[in-house]
Amino acid sequence: MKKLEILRYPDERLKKQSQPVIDFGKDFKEFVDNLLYTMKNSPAGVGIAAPQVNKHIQTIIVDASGYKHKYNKTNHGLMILSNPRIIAHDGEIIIREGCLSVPDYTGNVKRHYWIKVEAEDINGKTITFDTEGFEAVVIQHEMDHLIGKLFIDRVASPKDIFKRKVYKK
Amino acid sequence: MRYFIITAFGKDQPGIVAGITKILYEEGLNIEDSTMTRLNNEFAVMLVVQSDDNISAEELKKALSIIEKEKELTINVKEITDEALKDKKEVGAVYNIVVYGADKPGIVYNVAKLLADKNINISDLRTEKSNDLYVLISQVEFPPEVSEEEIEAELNRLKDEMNIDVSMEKQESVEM
Repeated sequence: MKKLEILRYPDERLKKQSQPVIDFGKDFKEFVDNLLYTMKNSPAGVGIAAPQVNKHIQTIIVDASGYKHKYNKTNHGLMILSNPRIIAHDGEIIIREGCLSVPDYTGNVKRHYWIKVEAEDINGKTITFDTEGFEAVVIQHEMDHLIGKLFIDRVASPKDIFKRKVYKK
Repeated sequence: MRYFIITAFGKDQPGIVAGITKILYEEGLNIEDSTMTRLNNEFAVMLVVQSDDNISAEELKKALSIIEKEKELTINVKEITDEALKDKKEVGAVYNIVVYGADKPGIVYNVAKLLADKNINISDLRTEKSNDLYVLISQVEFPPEVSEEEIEAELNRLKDEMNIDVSMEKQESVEM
């Protein structure tokens, strides 16, 4: 397994639309292994999307299980989702989001609080589940990468985007 | 490289930002950090700019005097010293503190004094007033030795004393 290089804005490749996954074969699984390894070795390690490592396929990895957050009440652990679709949603939630591809900024982003998701699992089998709160936000954040959107595109107002002004020795 | 802080304010009208930044652009200055906002009917601009050339504060002020006259602004320019730029301090954690309540004298002062007494730095603060409701929103930096419980207790004391509402939340962002 190897750590893949994460693209950073303003890299134009982050703004590209990703293509659906059709072939769930050996090459795909090998890529997913490396993507997972890359996610696990990043600061929070809660999510990553394939286009962030310059692979423009509709695959995201989410794992909210190891992260303490006030809205993290229920989660499904590690999930490898391809071609994810939100088929129902309800409510609103705002979380301060950061992004591996936009390291110097954070922003308050409004997302659906509850979502019902349909996606293909690692073997291409269609699954459906619903989730809420923190995990729902991570999924929506990662899904945005698949259509070339960053959290900055979703920030509500000028007062909701923040440069990291914290100095540490 | 030289850095300057520029402040400018004047009656709110279209073209203040365009006028100032046109000059900065033409002088080859980069805007490193800025806040530009309307305060009542005055528009206030605060900028930190960086120059690769050897422009002086006086020369910069002179270049800006065109827009100063045209829009009847008050503009100040100060060079930031190298020492000030390098002076980075250690921060324990960042918190958002929101205070609100019926408007009365001393809200900002009492909150700021409480923070200053604990050596807490304010990195951002704004206030809004609408009819009788006063709102203070701030982002503050706790030094490593200050605890959340300690400040929460102090803020609760102030809350009772002044009959205001106070909330404090640690600012956390999640890398996704």
